[in-house]
Amino acid sequence: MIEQLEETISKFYPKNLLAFDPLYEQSEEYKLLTTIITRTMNDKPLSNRLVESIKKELPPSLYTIEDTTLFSFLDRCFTFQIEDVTKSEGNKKVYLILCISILASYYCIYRKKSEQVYDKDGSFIGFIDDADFNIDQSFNSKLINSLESLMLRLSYTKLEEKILLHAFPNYSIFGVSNENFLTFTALFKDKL
Amino acid sequence: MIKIFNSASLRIVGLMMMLAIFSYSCNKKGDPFPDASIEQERNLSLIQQARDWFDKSSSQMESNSNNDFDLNSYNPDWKAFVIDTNLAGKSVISVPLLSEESGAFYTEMSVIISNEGNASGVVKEYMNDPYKEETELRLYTNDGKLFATGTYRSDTKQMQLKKTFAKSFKAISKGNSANGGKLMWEAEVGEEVGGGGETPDSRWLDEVVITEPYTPPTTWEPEPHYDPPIDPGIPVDPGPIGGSGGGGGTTTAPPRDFSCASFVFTKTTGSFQEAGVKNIRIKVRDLQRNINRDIYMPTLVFGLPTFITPNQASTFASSSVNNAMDAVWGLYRASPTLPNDPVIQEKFIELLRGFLSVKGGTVQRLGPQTSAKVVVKEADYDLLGSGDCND
Repeated sequence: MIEQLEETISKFYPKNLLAFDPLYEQSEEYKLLTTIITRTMNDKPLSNRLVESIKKELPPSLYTIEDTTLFSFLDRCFTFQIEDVTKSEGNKKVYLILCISILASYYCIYRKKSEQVYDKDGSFIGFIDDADFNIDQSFNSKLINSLESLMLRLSYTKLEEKILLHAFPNYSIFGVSNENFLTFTALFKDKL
Repeated sequence: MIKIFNSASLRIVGLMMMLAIFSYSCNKKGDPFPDASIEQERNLSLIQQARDWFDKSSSQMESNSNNDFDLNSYNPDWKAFVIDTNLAGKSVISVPLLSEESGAFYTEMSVIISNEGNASGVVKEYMNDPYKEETELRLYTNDGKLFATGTYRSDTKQMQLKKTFAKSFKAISKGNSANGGKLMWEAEVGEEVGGGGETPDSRWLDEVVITEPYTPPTTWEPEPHYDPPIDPGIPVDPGPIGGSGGGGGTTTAPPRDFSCASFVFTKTTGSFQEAGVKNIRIKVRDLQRNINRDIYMPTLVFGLPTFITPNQASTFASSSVNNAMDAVWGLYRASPTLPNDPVIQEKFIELLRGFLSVKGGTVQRLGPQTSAKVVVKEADYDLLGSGDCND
Protein backbone atom coordinates (compact mmCIF):
# COMPACT_ATOMS: atom_id res chain seq x y z
CA MET A 1 0.00 0.00 0.00
CA ILE A 2 2.76 2.41 0.99
CA GLU A 3 4.75 1.61 -2.16
CA GLN A 4 1.65 2.17 -4.23
CA LEU A 5 1.04 5.49 -2.52
CA GLU A 6 4.61 6.61 -3.02
CA GLU A 7 4.35 5.82 -6.69
CA THR A 8 1.32 8.09 -6.87
CA ILE A 9 2.95 10.80 -4.78
CA SER A 10 6.09 10.79 -6.90
CA LYS A 11 4.04 11.87 -9.90
CA PHE A 12 3.11 15.15 -8.24
CA TYR A 13 6.06 16.02 -6.01
CA PRO A 14 9.72 16.10 -7.07
CA LYS A 15 11.78 13.78 -4.91
CA ASN A 16 14.56 15.20 -2.71
CA LEU A 17 13.80 18.78 -3.63
CA LEU A 18 12.72 21.40 -1.10
CA ALA A 19 9.71 23.47 -2.10
CA PHE A 20 11.82 26.62 -1.88
CA ASP A 21 14.46 25.31 -4.22
CA PRO A 22 14.25 27.31 -7.46
CA LEU A 23 14.12 24.02 -9.36
CA TYR A 24 10.98 22.90 -7.53
CA GLU A 25 8.60 25.17 -9.40
CA GLN A 26 10.21 24.19 -12.69
CA SER A 27 9.80 20.48 -12.07
CA GLU A 28 7.41 18.43 -14.18
CA GLU A 29 5.83 17.07 -11.02
CA TYR A 30 4.93 20.52 -9.68
CA LYS A 31 3.61 21.57 -13.06
CA LEU A 32 1.37 18.51 -13.18
CA LEU A 33 0.13 19.19 -9.64
CA THR A 34 -0.79 22.80 -10.37
CA THR A 35 -2.32 21.88 -13.71
CA ILE A 36 -4.68 19.42 -12.07
CA ILE A 37 -5.56 21.86 -9.29
CA THR A 38 -6.21 24.68 -11.74
CA ARG A 39 -8.31 22.46 -13.97
CA THR A 40 -10.39 21.22 -11.04
CA MET A 41 -10.93 24.64 -9.50
CA ASN A 42 -12.39 25.81 -12.79
CA ASP A 43 -14.75 22.85 -12.95
CA LYS A 44 -17.62 24.32 -10.93
CA PRO A 45 -20.18 21.71 -12.06
CA LEU A 46 -18.05 18.96 -10.54
CA SER A 47 -18.03 20.69 -7.17
CA ASN A 48 -21.77 21.28 -7.36
CA ARG A 49 -22.47 17.68 -8.28
CA LEU A 50 -20.47 16.46 -5.32
CA VAL A 51 -22.25 18.81 -2.93
CA GLU A 52 -25.65 17.72 -4.24
CA SER A 53 -24.69 14.05 -3.92
CA ILE A 54 -23.59 14.51 -0.32
CA LYS A 55 -26.65 16.56 0.54
CA LYS A 56 -28.85 13.66 -0.45
CA GLU A 57 -27.20 11.62 2.28
CA LEU A 58 -27.84 14.22 4.99
CA PRO A 59 -31.08 14.95 6.85
CA PRO A 60 -31.23 18.74 6.21
CA SER A 61 -32.61 19.55 9.64
CA LEU A 62 -29.61 17.99 11.36
CA TYR A 63 -26.71 18.94 9.16
CA THR A 64 -25.49 21.78 6.98
CA ILE A 65 -22.78 21.42 4.37
CA GLU A 66 -20.23 23.95 3.17
CA ASP A 67 -17.54 23.60 0.50
CA THR A 68 -14.43 24.97 2.23
CA THR A 69 -11.98 23.92 -0.49
CA LEU A 70 -9.15 26.37 -1.10
CA PHE A 71 -7.69 25.39 -4.43
CA SER A 72 -6.01 28.78 -4.69
CA PHE A 73 -4.01 27.71 -1.63
CA LEU A 74 -3.02 24.50 -3.34
CA ASP A 75 -5.51 22.16 -1.67
CA ARG A 76 -5.26 18.77 -3.30
CA CYS A 77 -8.79 17.75 -2.39
CA PHE A 78 -12.36 18.91 -2.14
CA THR A 79 -13.12 19.72 1.47
CA PHE A 80 -16.72 19.50 2.59
CA GLN A 81 -17.47 20.74 6.07
CA ILE A 82 -20.60 19.14 7.47
CA GLU A 83 -21.87 20.78 10.62
CA ASP A 84 -23.81 18.75 13.11
CA VAL A 85 -26.23 21.41 14.26
CA THR A 86 -27.45 19.20 17.09
CA LYS A 87 -23.97 19.21 18.62
CA SER A 88 -22.87 22.77 17.86
CA GLU A 89 -23.49 25.31 20.60
CA GLY A 90 -23.09 29.03 20.01
CA ASN A 91 -19.48 29.70 19.11
CA LYS A 92 -18.54 26.06 19.55
CA LYS A 93 -19.08 24.20 16.30
CA VAL A 94 -18.83 20.48 15.63
CA TYR A 95 -18.02 19.36 12.11
CA LEU A 96 -17.48 16.23 10.09
CA ILE A 97 -14.93 16.90 7.40
CA LEU A 98 -15.00 14.92 4.17
CA CYS A 99 -11.89 15.28 1.97
CA ILE A 100 -11.95 13.88 -1.56
CA SER A 101 -8.58 13.84 -3.29
CA ILE A 102 -8.29 15.18 -6.82
CA LEU A 103 -4.95 13.43 -7.38
CA ALA A 104 -6.09 9.84 -6.84
CA SER A 105 -9.29 7.99 -5.95
CA TYR A 106 -8.93 8.32 -2.21
CA TYR A 107 -10.92 10.08 0.47
CA CYS A 108 -10.76 10.55 4.24
CA ILE A 109 -13.10 11.63 6.98
CA TYR A 110 -12.28 13.33 10.25
CA ARG A 111 -14.04 15.35 12.90
CA LYS A 112 -13.27 18.87 13.90
CA LYS A 113 -14.34 20.99 16.83
CA SER A 114 -13.88 24.69 16.39
CA GLU A 115 -14.47 27.44 18.92
CA GLN A 116 -14.56 31.09 18.02
CA VAL A 117 -13.05 33.22 20.77
CA TYR A 118 -14.00 36.86 21.27
CA ASP A 119 -12.54 39.60 23.42
CA LYS A 120 -14.58 41.41 26.07
CA ASP A 121 -15.23 44.24 23.64
CA GLY A 122 -16.67 41.77 21.14
CA SER A 123 -13.71 41.77 18.76
CA PHE A 124 -12.79 38.44 17.26
CA ILE A 125 -9.57 36.95 18.68
CA GLY A 126 -9.32 33.65 16.88
CA PHE A 127 -10.21 29.99 16.60
CA ILE A 128 -9.39 27.12 18.87
CA ASP A 129 -9.51 24.06 16.63
CA ASP A 130 -9.33 20.42 17.54
CA ALA A 131 -9.27 17.84 14.76
CA ASP A 132 -9.06 14.09 15.00
CA PHE A 133 -9.45 11.08 12.72
CA ASN A 134 -11.17 9.25 15.56
CA ILE A 135 -14.82 10.07 14.89
CA ASP A 136 -16.59 7.11 16.43
CA GLN A 137 -17.91 8.93 19.47
CA SER A 138 -18.60 12.22 17.81
CA PHE A 139 -20.97 11.51 14.98
CA ASN A 140 -23.94 9.45 14.11
CA SER A 141 -22.65 6.20 12.66
CA LYS A 142 -25.54 6.12 10.17
CA LEU A 143 -24.26 9.32 8.64
CA ILE A 144 -20.75 7.96 8.39
CA ASN A 145 -22.04 4.78 6.78
CA SER A 146 -24.11 6.62 4.21
CA LEU A 147 -21.17 8.85 3.27
CA GLU A 148 -18.91 5.84 2.94
CA SER A 149 -21.50 4.14 0.73
CA LEU A 150 -21.67 7.21 -1.44
CA MET A 151 -17.91 7.32 -1.86
CA LEU A 152 -17.87 3.62 -2.65
CA ARG A 153 -20.42 4.20 -5.40
CA LEU A 154 -18.17 6.95 -6.74
CA SER A 155 -15.25 4.43 -6.74
CA TYR A 156 -13.21 6.16 -4.02
CA THR A 157 -11.20 4.27 -1.39
CA LYS A 158 -11.08 5.40 2.20
CA LEU A 159 -7.66 5.94 3.77
CA GLU A 160 -7.42 5.22 7.47
CA GLU A 161 -5.49 7.18 10.08
CA LYS A 162 -2.40 4.97 10.10
CA ILE A 163 -1.94 5.34 6.36
CA LEU A 164 -2.79 9.05 6.39
CA LEU A 165 -0.12 9.75 8.98
CA HIS A 166 2.63 7.84 7.19
CA ALA A 167 5.55 10.21 6.50
CA PHE A 168 7.30 10.62 3.16
CA PRO A 169 10.27 12.79 4.16
CA ASN A 170 11.82 12.73 0.70
CA TYR A 171 9.05 14.92 -0.62
CA SER A 172 8.12 18.49 0.08
CA ILE A 173 5.49 21.11 -0.46
CA PHE A 174 5.48 24.80 0.27
CA GLY A 175 4.97 25.49 3.97
CA VAL A 176 5.17 21.93 5.27
CA SER A 177 8.50 20.74 6.56
CA ASN A 178 9.80 17.47 5.18
CA GLU A 179 9.33 15.49 8.35
CA ASN A 180 5.66 16.51 8.38
CA PHE A 181 5.01 15.57 4.78
CA LEU A 182 2.43 12.82 5.24
CA THR A 183 0.11 10.86 3.01
CA PHE A 184 -2.54 13.32 4.12
CA THR A 185 -0.32 16.22 3.04
CA ALA A 186 0.43 14.66 -0.32
CA LEU A 187 -3.08 13.68 -1.36
CA PHE A 188 -5.28 16.12 0.51
CA LYS A 189 -4.01 19.37 2.00
CA ASP A 190 -1.50 20.99 4.31
CA LYS A 191 -3.26 20.55 7.62
CA LEU A 192 -6.36 19.06 9.19
CA MET B 1 24.25 45.91 0.96
CA ILE B 2 27.11 44.20 2.64
CA LYS B 3 29.60 46.61 4.03
CA ILE B 4 33.16 46.31 2.99
CA PHE B 5 34.39 48.70 5.61
CA ASN B 6 35.17 48.46 9.27
CA SER B 7 32.16 46.74 10.82
CA ALA B 8 32.47 48.35 14.26
CA SER B 9 32.37 51.84 12.82
CA LEU B 10 29.43 50.87 10.69
CA ARG B 11 27.53 49.69 13.71
CA ILE B 12 28.07 53.05 15.30
CA VAL B 13 26.91 54.77 12.14
CA GLY B 14 23.90 52.48 12.14
CA LEU B 15 23.06 53.31 15.69
CA MET B 16 23.29 56.98 14.90
CA MET B 17 21.05 56.46 11.88
CA MET B 18 18.40 54.89 14.05
CA LEU B 19 18.52 57.90 16.30
CA ALA B 20 18.53 60.21 13.33
CA ILE B 21 15.44 58.66 11.79
CA PHE B 22 13.61 58.57 15.09
CA SER B 23 14.61 62.15 15.73
CA TYR B 24 13.49 63.20 12.27
CA SER B 25 10.11 61.57 12.77
CA CYS B 26 9.60 63.05 16.20
CA ASN B 27 10.69 66.51 15.13
CA LYS B 28 7.79 66.55 12.75
CA LYS B 29 5.48 66.12 15.70
CA GLY B 30 7.03 68.39 18.28
CA ASP B 31 10.78 67.93 18.49
CA PRO B 32 11.38 65.77 21.57
CA PHE B 33 15.02 65.56 20.46
CA PRO B 34 16.11 69.19 20.51
CA ASP B 35 19.73 68.13 21.03
CA ALA B 36 20.05 66.15 17.81
CA SER B 37 23.75 65.83 17.17
CA ILE B 38 25.65 67.20 14.25
CA GLU B 39 26.24 63.60 13.19
CA GLN B 40 22.51 62.91 13.01
CA GLU B 41 21.92 66.07 11.04
CA ARG B 42 24.73 65.13 8.68
CA ASN B 43 23.15 61.73 8.01
CA LEU B 44 19.77 63.28 7.38
CA SER B 45 21.47 65.69 5.06
CA LEU B 46 23.05 62.76 3.18
CA ILE B 47 19.68 61.12 2.68
CA GLN B 48 18.21 64.35 1.41
CA GLN B 49 21.14 64.93 -0.95
CA ALA B 50 20.75 61.39 -2.28
CA ARG B 51 17.07 62.11 -2.90
CA ASP B 52 17.98 65.34 -4.69
CA TRP B 53 20.55 63.47 -6.78
CA PHE B 54 18.00 60.85 -7.73
CA ASP B 55 15.36 63.42 -8.65
CA LYS B 56 17.80 65.49 -10.69
CA SER B 57 19.31 62.47 -12.46
CA SER B 58 15.86 61.01 -13.19
CA SER B 59 14.73 64.19 -14.87
CA GLN B 60 17.97 64.33 -16.88
CA MET B 61 17.44 60.79 -18.09
CA GLU B 62 13.80 61.45 -18.92
CA SER B 63 14.81 64.20 -21.33
CA ASN B 64 17.36 62.01 -23.12
CA SER B 65 16.09 59.06 -25.12
CA ASN B 66 19.56 57.68 -25.87
CA ASN B 67 20.29 56.45 -22.37
CA ASP B 68 21.81 53.11 -21.59
CA PHE B 69 19.94 53.18 -18.28
CA ASP B 70 16.78 54.99 -17.18
CA LEU B 71 16.29 55.74 -13.49
CA ASN B 72 12.66 56.55 -14.16
CA SER B 73 11.91 52.85 -14.39
CA TYR B 74 13.17 52.33 -10.84
CA ASN B 75 11.94 53.04 -7.35
CA PRO B 76 14.56 53.63 -4.67
CA ASP B 77 13.94 51.64 -1.49
CA TRP B 78 14.78 54.56 0.76
CA LYS B 79 14.16 52.59 3.91
CA ALA B 80 16.94 50.16 3.03
CA PHE B 81 19.69 52.71 2.64
CA VAL B 82 23.18 52.08 3.94
CA ILE B 83 25.78 54.68 4.79
CA ASP B 84 29.38 53.54 4.50
CA THR B 85 32.67 55.30 4.90
CA ASN B 86 35.08 54.82 2.02
CA LEU B 87 38.84 54.56 2.06
CA ALA B 88 39.19 58.30 1.81
CA GLY B 89 37.02 58.72 4.89
CA LYS B 90 34.06 60.10 3.01
CA SER B 91 30.49 58.94 3.56
CA VAL B 92 28.74 57.08 0.78
CA ILE B 93 25.03 56.43 0.83
CA SER B 94 23.77 53.43 -1.14
CA VAL B 95 20.12 52.74 -1.88
CA PRO B 96 18.59 49.68 -3.62
CA LEU B 97 16.73 50.44 -6.85
CA LEU B 98 13.68 48.27 -7.44
CA SER B 99 12.06 47.56 -10.78
CA GLU B 100 9.97 44.78 -12.25
CA GLU B 101 11.40 45.44 -15.68
CA SER B 102 15.06 45.20 -14.79
CA GLY B 103 16.99 42.35 -16.30
CA ALA B 104 19.59 42.60 -13.55
CA PHE B 105 19.59 40.54 -10.38
CA TYR B 106 20.16 43.59 -8.22
CA THR B 107 20.57 47.32 -8.83
CA GLU B 108 21.61 50.11 -6.50
CA MET B 109 22.70 53.72 -6.57
CA SER B 110 25.59 55.09 -4.54
CA VAL B 111 25.96 58.79 -3.87
CA ILE B 112 28.89 60.65 -2.39
CA ILE B 113 29.21 64.27 -1.37
CA SER B 114 32.35 66.15 -2.34
CA ASN B 115 34.18 68.55 -0.04
CA GLU B 116 32.41 71.33 -1.86
CA GLY B 117 29.06 69.79 -1.00
CA ASN B 118 28.22 68.53 -4.50
CA ALA B 119 26.53 65.15 -4.88
CA SER B 120 27.89 62.66 -7.38
CA GLY B 121 26.52 59.23 -7.95
CA VAL B 122 26.67 56.02 -9.88
CA VAL B 123 24.24 53.23 -10.64
CA LYS B 124 25.45 49.66 -10.30
CA GLU B 125 23.79 46.70 -11.98
CA TYR B 126 24.72 43.21 -10.80
CA MET B 127 23.49 40.95 -13.58
CA ASN B 128 23.49 37.78 -11.44
CA ASP B 129 23.47 37.00 -7.75
CA PRO B 130 26.64 38.63 -6.38
CA TYR B 131 26.40 36.52 -3.23
CA LYS B 132 26.71 33.23 -4.98
CA GLU B 133 28.69 33.64 -8.11
CA GLU B 134 30.97 35.70 -10.21
CA THR B 135 28.77 38.18 -11.99
CA GLU B 136 28.86 40.88 -14.58
CA LEU B 137 28.74 44.36 -13.06
CA ARG B 138 27.72 47.41 -15.07
CA LEU B 139 28.33 50.98 -13.94
CA TYR B 140 26.27 53.91 -15.19
CA THR B 141 26.76 57.65 -14.80
CA ASN B 142 24.21 60.06 -13.39
CA ASP B 143 23.02 60.83 -16.92
CA GLY B 144 22.33 57.18 -17.67
CA LYS B 145 25.42 56.30 -19.70
CA LEU B 146 27.20 53.00 -19.33
CA PHE B 147 30.77 53.88 -18.42
CA ALA B 148 32.29 50.58 -17.32
CA THR B 149 31.61 46.89 -17.31
CA GLY B 150 33.49 44.21 -15.49
CA THR B 151 33.34 41.08 -13.43
CA TYR B 152 32.44 41.23 -9.76
CA ARG B 153 33.63 38.56 -7.36
CA SER B 154 31.61 38.00 -4.22
CA ASP B 155 34.48 36.34 -2.36
CA THR B 156 37.04 39.14 -2.72
CA LYS B 157 34.50 41.95 -3.25
CA GLN B 158 36.51 43.20 -6.18
CA MET B 159 35.74 44.18 -9.73
CA GLN B 160 37.92 43.29 -12.67
CA LEU B 161 37.49 45.92 -15.33
CA LYS B 162 36.62 44.59 -18.77
CA LYS B 163 35.64 47.60 -20.75
CA THR B 164 35.43 51.32 -20.13
CA PHE B 165 33.55 53.95 -22.04
CA ALA B 166 34.89 57.02 -20.28
CA LYS B 167 38.34 58.48 -20.14
CA SER B 168 38.26 60.47 -16.98
CA PHE B 169 38.21 58.16 -14.03
CA LYS B 170 40.69 55.92 -12.37
CA ALA B 171 40.59 52.88 -10.18
CA ILE B 172 42.41 52.65 -6.88
CA SER B 173 42.89 49.35 -5.18
CA LYS B 174 44.16 49.23 -1.61
CA GLY B 175 44.61 46.51 0.92
CA ASN B 176 45.23 42.86 0.39
CA SER B 177 43.37 42.05 -2.76
CA ALA B 178 43.37 38.35 -2.06
CA ASN B 179 41.75 38.73 1.31
CA GLY B 180 38.87 41.14 1.49
CA GLY B 181 40.67 43.99 -0.23
CA LYS B 182 38.63 47.08 -0.86
CA LEU B 183 38.07 48.53 -4.25
CA MET B 184 37.35 52.16 -4.83
CA TRP B 185 36.61 53.98 -8.02
CA GLU B 186 37.62 57.57 -8.20
CA ALA B 187 37.23 60.01 -11.02
CA GLU B 188 39.41 63.00 -11.57
CA VAL B 189 38.74 65.60 -14.19
CA GLY B 190 40.97 65.35 -17.21
CA GLU B 191 42.91 62.30 -16.13
CA GLU B 192 42.71 59.54 -18.70
CA VAL B 193 42.78 56.15 -17.05
CA GLY B 194 40.92 52.91 -17.36
CA GLY B 195 42.06 52.44 -20.91
CA GLY B 196 40.64 52.06 -24.35
CA GLY B 197 36.96 52.87 -24.14
CA GLU B 198 34.87 52.38 -27.20
CA THR B 199 33.28 55.79 -27.00
CA PRO B 200 35.56 57.89 -24.83
CA ASP B 201 34.11 61.17 -23.63
CA SER B 202 34.42 63.61 -20.78
CA ARG B 203 31.93 62.14 -18.31
CA TRP B 204 33.33 61.78 -14.84
CA LEU B 205 32.40 60.84 -11.33
CA ASP B 206 33.93 62.12 -8.16
CA GLU B 207 34.11 58.84 -6.35
CA VAL B 208 32.30 55.52 -6.27
CA VAL B 209 32.47 52.76 -3.74
CA ILE B 210 31.56 49.26 -4.78
CA THR B 211 29.44 47.53 -2.20
CA GLU B 212 27.62 44.26 -2.20
CA PRO B 213 23.90 44.31 -2.57
CA TYR B 214 21.15 44.45 -0.14
CA THR B 215 21.89 43.15 3.30
CA PRO B 216 19.95 44.89 6.03
CA PRO B 217 20.62 48.57 6.56
CA THR B 218 23.16 49.35 9.23
CA THR B 219 20.24 50.55 11.33
CA TRP B 220 19.53 46.88 12.09
CA GLU B 221 23.06 46.14 13.19
CA PRO B 222 23.11 45.75 16.97
CA GLU B 223 26.07 46.64 19.10
CA PRO B 224 27.57 43.22 19.91
CA HIS B 225 28.65 44.14 23.40
CA TYR B 226 25.06 45.08 24.23
CA ASP B 227 23.78 41.63 23.33
CA PRO B 228 21.67 40.07 26.07
CA PRO B 229 22.16 36.41 26.92
CA ILE B 230 21.19 34.30 23.94
CA ASP B 231 17.70 32.94 24.18
CA PRO B 232 17.16 31.00 20.98
CA GLY B 233 13.70 30.32 19.74
CA ILE B 234 11.90 32.98 21.73
CA PRO B 235 10.90 36.04 19.71
CA VAL B 236 11.92 39.32 21.29
CA ASP B 237 9.91 42.48 21.01
CA PRO B 238 12.50 45.13 20.23
CA GLY B 239 10.34 47.96 21.52
CA PRO B 240 10.35 51.40 19.94
CA ILE B 241 13.26 52.23 17.68
CA GLY B 242 15.58 54.75 19.23
CA GLY B 243 14.17 54.20 22.68
CA SER B 244 16.01 54.25 25.97
CA GLY B 245 19.64 53.34 25.95
CA GLY B 246 20.12 54.78 22.49
CA GLY B 247 18.04 52.13 20.80
CA GLY B 248 20.66 49.42 20.94
CA GLY B 249 20.77 48.26 24.48
CA THR B 250 18.07 45.78 25.16
CA THR B 251 17.61 43.42 22.27
CA THR B 252 19.18 41.93 19.22
CA ALA B 253 15.90 41.48 17.40
CA PRO B 254 15.40 43.52 14.27
CA PRO B 255 12.69 46.20 14.19
CA ARG B 256 9.18 44.98 13.50
CA ASP B 257 8.96 47.06 10.40
CA PHE B 258 6.80 45.08 7.97
CA SER B 259 3.85 47.31 7.26
CA CYS B 260 0.17 46.53 6.85
CA ALA B 261 0.31 48.84 3.84
CA SER B 262 1.77 45.81 2.05
CA PHE B 263 -1.70 44.29 1.66
CA VAL B 264 -4.75 44.94 -0.45
CA PHE B 265 -7.20 42.27 0.66
CA THR B 266 -9.84 41.43 -1.93
CA LYS B 267 -12.69 38.98 -1.58
CA THR B 268 -12.03 36.05 -3.88
CA THR B 269 -13.77 32.75 -3.44
CA GLY B 270 -16.47 31.87 -0.93
CA SER B 271 -15.80 33.41 2.43
CA PHE B 272 -12.14 34.15 1.80
CA GLN B 273 -10.24 37.35 1.10
CA GLU B 274 -6.76 37.28 -0.37
CA ALA B 275 -3.80 39.61 -0.86
CA GLY B 276 -0.47 39.07 -2.60
CA VAL B 277 2.86 40.48 -1.44
CA LYS B 278 6.14 40.19 -3.24
CA ASN B 279 9.68 40.49 -2.00
CA ILE B 280 9.09 40.06 1.71
CA ARG B 281 12.55 40.12 3.20
CA ILE B 282 13.38 38.20 6.29
CA LYS B 283 16.46 38.90 8.34
CA VAL B 284 18.86 36.36 9.73
CA ARG B 285 22.02 36.72 11.74
CA ASP B 286 25.05 35.18 10.05
CA LEU B 287 27.45 34.63 12.93
CA GLN B 288 30.18 33.24 10.71
CA ARG B 289 30.36 36.43 8.68
CA ASN B 290 29.26 38.66 11.56
CA ILE B 291 26.57 40.32 9.49
CA ASN B 292 22.81 40.48 9.29
CA ARG B 293 21.58 39.08 6.03
CA ASP B 294 18.35 39.40 4.03
CA ILE B 295 16.51 36.53 2.43
CA TYR B 296 13.73 37.30 0.01
CA MET B 297 10.54 35.33 -0.28
CA PRO B 298 8.78 34.46 -3.51
CA THR B 299 5.52 36.30 -4.06
CA LEU B 300 3.11 35.10 -1.39
CA VAL B 301 -0.67 35.10 -1.31
CA PHE B 302 -2.29 35.54 2.10
CA GLY B 303 -5.80 34.30 2.77
CA LEU B 304 -8.09 35.19 5.65
CA PRO B 305 -11.83 34.72 6.29
CA THR B 306 -14.08 37.60 5.30
CA PHE B 307 -15.74 37.93 8.68
CA ILE B 308 -12.89 40.23 9.58
CA THR B 309 -12.61 43.44 7.59
CA PRO B 310 -9.88 43.96 4.97
CA ASN B 311 -8.14 46.44 7.28
CA GLN B 312 -8.29 44.01 10.18
CA ALA B 313 -6.95 41.34 7.86
CA SER B 314 -4.06 43.62 6.83
CA THR B 315 -3.22 44.44 10.42
CA PHE B 316 -3.35 40.82 11.46
CA ALA B 317 -1.39 39.57 8.45
CA SER B 318 1.36 42.16 8.91
CA SER B 319 1.53 41.34 12.60
CA SER B 320 1.85 37.65 11.69
CA VAL B 321 4.67 38.40 9.25
CA ASN B 322 6.50 40.41 11.91
CA ASN B 323 5.99 37.64 14.44
CA ALA B 324 7.33 35.05 12.01
CA MET B 325 10.30 37.32 11.19
CA ASP B 326 11.07 37.64 14.89
CA ALA B 327 10.73 33.90 15.35
CA VAL B 328 13.11 33.14 12.48
CA TRP B 329 15.57 35.71 13.79
CA GLY B 330 15.42 34.17 17.25
CA LEU B 331 15.72 30.68 15.85
CA TYR B 332 18.96 31.24 13.96
CA ARG B 333 20.71 34.16 15.63
CA ALA B 334 22.68 31.90 17.97
CA SER B 335 23.32 29.30 15.33
CA PRO B 336 27.03 29.00 14.47
CA THR B 337 26.13 27.96 10.93
CA LEU B 338 23.05 28.90 8.97
CA PRO B 339 21.10 26.33 7.00
CA ASN B 340 20.70 27.12 3.34
CA ASP B 341 18.15 29.66 2.23
CA PRO B 342 15.39 27.23 1.17
CA VAL B 343 15.38 25.70 4.66
CA ILE B 344 15.11 29.14 6.30
CA GLN B 345 12.36 30.15 3.89
CA GLU B 346 10.47 26.98 4.63
CA LYS B 347 10.75 27.56 8.36
CA PHE B 348 9.51 31.13 7.94
CA ILE B 349 6.41 29.96 6.05
CA GLU B 350 5.72 27.22 8.57
CA LEU B 351 5.86 29.74 11.41
CA LEU B 352 3.86 32.31 9.46
CA ARG B 353 1.14 29.77 8.80
CA GLY B 354 1.00 29.02 12.49
CA PHE B 355 0.37 32.67 13.31
CA LEU B 356 -2.17 33.11 10.50
CA SER B 357 -4.11 29.99 11.42
CA VAL B 358 -5.23 31.60 14.67
CA LYS B 359 -7.81 33.51 12.63
CA GLY B 360 -8.37 30.80 10.09
CA GLY B 361 -5.82 32.20 7.65
CA THR B 362 -3.10 30.68 5.54
CA VAL B 363 -0.46 31.62 3.00
CA GLN B 364 0.67 30.12 -0.27
CA ARG B 365 3.05 30.85 -3.09
CA LEU B 366 1.59 32.81 -6.01
CA GLY B 367 0.82 30.17 -8.59
CA PRO B 368 -1.20 29.43 -11.68
CA GLN B 369 -4.16 28.51 -9.50
CA THR B 370 -4.17 31.91 -7.79
CA SER B 371 -7.38 33.86 -8.26
CA ALA B 372 -7.17 36.62 -10.85
CA LYS B 373 -8.75 38.96 -8.30
CA VAL B 374 -5.72 38.87 -6.02
CA VAL B 375 -3.92 42.21 -5.85
CA VAL B 376 -0.14 41.81 -5.55
CA LYS B 377 1.83 44.61 -3.91
CA GLU B 378 5.52 45.15 -3.25
CA ALA B 379 6.36 44.55 0.41
CA ASP B 380 6.15 47.81 2.32
CA TYR B 381 8.23 48.62 5.37
CA ASP B 382 7.57 51.20 8.02
CA LEU B 383 10.80 51.77 9.87
CA LEU B 384 8.97 53.39 12.73
CA GLY B 385 6.78 50.34 12.94
CA SER B 386 3.24 51.46 13.69
CA GLY B 387 1.84 48.68 11.50
CA ASP B 388 -1.80 49.29 12.34
CA CYS B 389 -4.37 49.58 9.54
CA ASN B 390 -7.28 51.14 11.37
CA ASP B 391 -10.80 50.91 10.02
